[in-house]
Amino acid sequence: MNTFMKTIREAAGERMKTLYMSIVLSCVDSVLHMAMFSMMMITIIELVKGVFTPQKLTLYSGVLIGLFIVRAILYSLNYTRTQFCGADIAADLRLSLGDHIRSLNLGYFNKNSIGRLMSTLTTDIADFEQILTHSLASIFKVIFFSALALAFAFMVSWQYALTAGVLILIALPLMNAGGKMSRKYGARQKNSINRVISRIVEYINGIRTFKLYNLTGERFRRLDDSFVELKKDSVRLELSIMPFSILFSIITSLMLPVSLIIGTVMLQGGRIDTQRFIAIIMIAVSLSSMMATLGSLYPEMTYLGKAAENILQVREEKPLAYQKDVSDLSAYSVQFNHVHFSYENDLEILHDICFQAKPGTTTALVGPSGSGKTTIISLISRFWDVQGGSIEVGGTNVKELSPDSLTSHMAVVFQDVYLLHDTIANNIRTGRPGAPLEEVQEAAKAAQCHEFIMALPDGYDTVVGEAGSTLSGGERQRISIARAFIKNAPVVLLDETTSSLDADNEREINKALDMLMKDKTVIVIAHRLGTVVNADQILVLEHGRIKERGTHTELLAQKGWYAQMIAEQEKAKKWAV
Amino acid sequence: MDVKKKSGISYLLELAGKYRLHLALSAVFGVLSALCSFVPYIMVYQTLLFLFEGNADTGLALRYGIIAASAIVGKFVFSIISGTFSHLGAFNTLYNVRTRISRHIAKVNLGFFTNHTSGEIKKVIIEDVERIEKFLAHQIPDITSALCVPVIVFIYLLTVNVPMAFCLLAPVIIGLVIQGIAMAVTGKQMSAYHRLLGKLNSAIMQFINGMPVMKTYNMTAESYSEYSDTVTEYNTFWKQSTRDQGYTYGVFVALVESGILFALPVGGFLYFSSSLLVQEYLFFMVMSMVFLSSLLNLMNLAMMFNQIMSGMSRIQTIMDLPCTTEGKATFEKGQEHSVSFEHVTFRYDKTDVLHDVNLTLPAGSLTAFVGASGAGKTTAAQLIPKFWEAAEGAVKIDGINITQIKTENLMELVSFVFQETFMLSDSIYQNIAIGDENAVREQVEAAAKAAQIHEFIMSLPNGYDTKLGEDGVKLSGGEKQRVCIARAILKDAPVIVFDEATSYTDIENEHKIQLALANLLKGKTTVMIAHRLHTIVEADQICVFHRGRIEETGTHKQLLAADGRYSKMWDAYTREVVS
Repeated sequence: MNTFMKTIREAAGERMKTLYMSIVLSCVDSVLHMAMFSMMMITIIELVKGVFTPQKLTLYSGVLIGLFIVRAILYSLNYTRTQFCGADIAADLRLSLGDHIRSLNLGYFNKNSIGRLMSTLTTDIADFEQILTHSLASIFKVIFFSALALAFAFMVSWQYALTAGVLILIALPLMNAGGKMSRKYGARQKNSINRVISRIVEYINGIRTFKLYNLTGERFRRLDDSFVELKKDSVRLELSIMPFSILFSIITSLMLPVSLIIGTVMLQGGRIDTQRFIAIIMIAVSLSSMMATLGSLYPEMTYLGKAAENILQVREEKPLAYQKDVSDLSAYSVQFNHVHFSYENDLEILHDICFQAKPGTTTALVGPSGSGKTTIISLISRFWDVQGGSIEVGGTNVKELSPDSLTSHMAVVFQDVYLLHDTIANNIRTGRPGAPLEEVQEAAKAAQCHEFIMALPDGYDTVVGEAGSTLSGGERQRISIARAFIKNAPVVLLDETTSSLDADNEREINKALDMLMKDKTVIVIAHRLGTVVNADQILVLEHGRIKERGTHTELLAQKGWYAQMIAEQEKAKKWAV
Repeated sequence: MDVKKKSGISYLLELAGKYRLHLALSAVFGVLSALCSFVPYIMVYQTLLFLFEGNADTGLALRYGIIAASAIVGKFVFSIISGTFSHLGAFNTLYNVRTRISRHIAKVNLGFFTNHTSGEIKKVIIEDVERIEKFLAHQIPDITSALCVPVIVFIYLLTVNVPMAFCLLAPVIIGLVIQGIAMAVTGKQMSAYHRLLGKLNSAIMQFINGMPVMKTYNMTAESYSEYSDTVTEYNTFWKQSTRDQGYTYGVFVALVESGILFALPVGGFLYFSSSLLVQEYLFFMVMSMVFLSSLLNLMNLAMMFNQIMSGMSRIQTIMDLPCTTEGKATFEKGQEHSVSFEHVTFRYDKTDVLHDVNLTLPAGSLTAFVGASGAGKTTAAQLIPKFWEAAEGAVKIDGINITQIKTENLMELVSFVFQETFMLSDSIYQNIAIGDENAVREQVEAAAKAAQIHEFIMSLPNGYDTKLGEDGVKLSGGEKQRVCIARAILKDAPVIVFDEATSYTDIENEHKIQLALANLLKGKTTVMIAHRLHTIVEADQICVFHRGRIEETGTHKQLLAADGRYSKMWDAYTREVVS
């Protein structure tokens, strides 16, 4: 409970004060609740004793109505306050986490983390808010009310109070054990769900292949197996918690029958009178109903803990360090000095990479996939920091520059194009916010996309669908090139993947890319022969090392991997079916 | 599946199929369990009576305690039984529904996958289906007991005293009226809320997905404003609606927790006017503490119900999509087949993509489809394995309309090698063996050899058992393509469609792919969607597509001589390659 509260405190920040207030108000409410309850108890006792009069009825009714009005007002006020506070906490968290996420190194944004960040900013924060505003006060109310009732019980009969106390002490660990069980099997079920998700995505992505090979529905065993696993794990999860939660409920519910039995026995022995017996019964009724509420609140509290933990986890991600906020680079060379690099899993991806790209030259990276080309490009824009050696842009170590100022000198054309859900003009403007429409059009013309944009119903004001879904792959790629054009940055990082585009688009994109690369310091993952042949230097990468380097002619003369690749290419050109 | 259309719960129960019995049993035990929960309170009442009457037989009072204890044990035994039945029933139903959806989406035309992202479909199969579990496993026993128990108890209360019975109901009735008024006032806000929530989620999604772009382009506060504005808007809205509803809600909760507020005064009044016995008065006061909580369950249900139903309707939308037409005709294996297009017109979203395409592919011949992007060549090829259905006209195999052929058999007849390769996250062996489930290792290796990929596979640390995908080895584009060709070679279908890649991401592989292709196409009826004209100069016929029509057909020489569109394309192409 302590660590749990700490997590909430950290995530809720300053607004915790409002929450404390709401907890206090809830406890006041439970005192009032107890008072109403006492009115009933007094009435019953007086009825049994035969001293209940119409005057007393009026008095008690009046007190009840008064209590009700105070409770209704208190509850409304508290509810509104807490909701406001919860909404503010959620808004603050969304904004501050948003800012924090911005400052993280770009390498953090891979497929896994994007999914996780999404769910943290949406569901986790929503859960956190809801349960914080609804359940936190309730749980304190329940605990407070139970303590009050128990104290009351001690005054009436220590024997019963002790028994009830023991029952609660036996029951509480069960709830905890159930929670542990649910975490254990819950984690397993979560794994199954993730497996089902990846299999479904696989199934959908490969649906044409599966249709062709008659591997649909149950015949696609991998998917079917994962469904079966999920079913088993889900049943296991539910059934594993059940014994604990049921046992908890049985034990706490037994407080009522136990009160009847103990009371009768003590009454028989003359140790308590009728009034005390009735009081015990009433306390038992309220205690057992409170425990039932506690049982149903517990899972929500674990949920809250989980959500809070996820939020904190994102917060704990460290942003990249830097010394200079602004960078005025005069020359735009790119230099790698004995660079060693590994992603988080400690497997070294790049070994001792050394090269220099002089200002205004083109460096082409070639080599099989997985050889480290993409990693080199992402290191230049400081998506990640290197472990060994250094990378210099314009003679300054990139580690000294703030990532924002560093990327202001670079235009990057990614392999997967991301367009904003905004107009085409504004998408191009991301390259230079506030650029006038003429410049946007100029960039579009240079990127060979002016024509197709003009053919769209709203021209430059056409809104592209989410993630650019309304445009073809080639069109999206050209818009991203236009975006790079308008930025007109001295360093261009380029990934020339044009696969899955048809020949028409390819020609257009080739033109656009050639324009983009003119007079810039270009580091390009080359897929076009033309780029390679005209490059000032070619780096052939294999397994994270530079295997061959030189110009096209030099490399042909070396008769190594590069020369062989070119020969294969020539052979392919002459082939016909 | 062509039962009459059902909706909502009945559709859900239909999906549950044979597990309906589980669910029914769970409901029965749920009611039993809920009924048991009232027994202890009746025993409390009995004990109070006992005390009131001053009866000396304490054995009787002890018995009340024991009955109450047994009822509690009984309650939980019943709820364990109910819960076990409901969860078994529910999770088995989820399994059935998921399998049915995955089977069904494979039968609908491909447009479904262009219109829906894998994320959307995944959401239906995972989240919407998962919600059914809540309904089946929890709501069914809850609803039945939430409905049955108050009714039974209320009838019992009526037999004791009519005005007092209604008095117990009063807080709920008043509460509901207040809530109803509040809902009527703010009802429209619900849809506004959902819209805003959707907006918030999409703002967050853009913010995170677009982060790499935003950061490399140094987008400043201005560009993030959509995110922060939406967060603020959502916050303001939330506060406003709290302001609107908070007070009525507060009164409502206080009411529901204050059953005694009505029972005590009204009961007292009736008691003093001699129309309520003292023991009845006691009884109603005790019941005022518990009766309301059983009704509260019912109200939570209404909210849950809406969520489930929206999910159900998304599931139903998918399941109601028509399957592609299928007949009973089958062909024997091991024959050659001709393919023909007869007056084929195809529409997509009401615009014609293909008009009146006529074409015959003789058995064992090679036909090339060429043309600009969007000319219809890929669409035409995709009609052969019935990925799409022609709107008019027919695609025929050996003179039989493919809609008359059993889909399973049609799939055995046709192989399609796509430009975008698809790999399972599994071993290379499994990736090739998809081609023929019954293939033995030698056959798989032979196919790999023919596809020029065997040597490469053997060079990997685990050979054929090397895992591909996210946690395994990454293959280059050309290597993947050869695995796909190996797959098709293993399948050995008589009709082959090959969609040539425009450019290989790994240039060094291109020639090997060509050798693999030559092995694949031997003796087959082939359609080649070609982008590099030099590869098809020896094709038996070349079809030039332009704006959904076949403009020219002939051999390379004939078409050059005709000096039409093809010859222009050839000029442009050769100029490009030379430069």
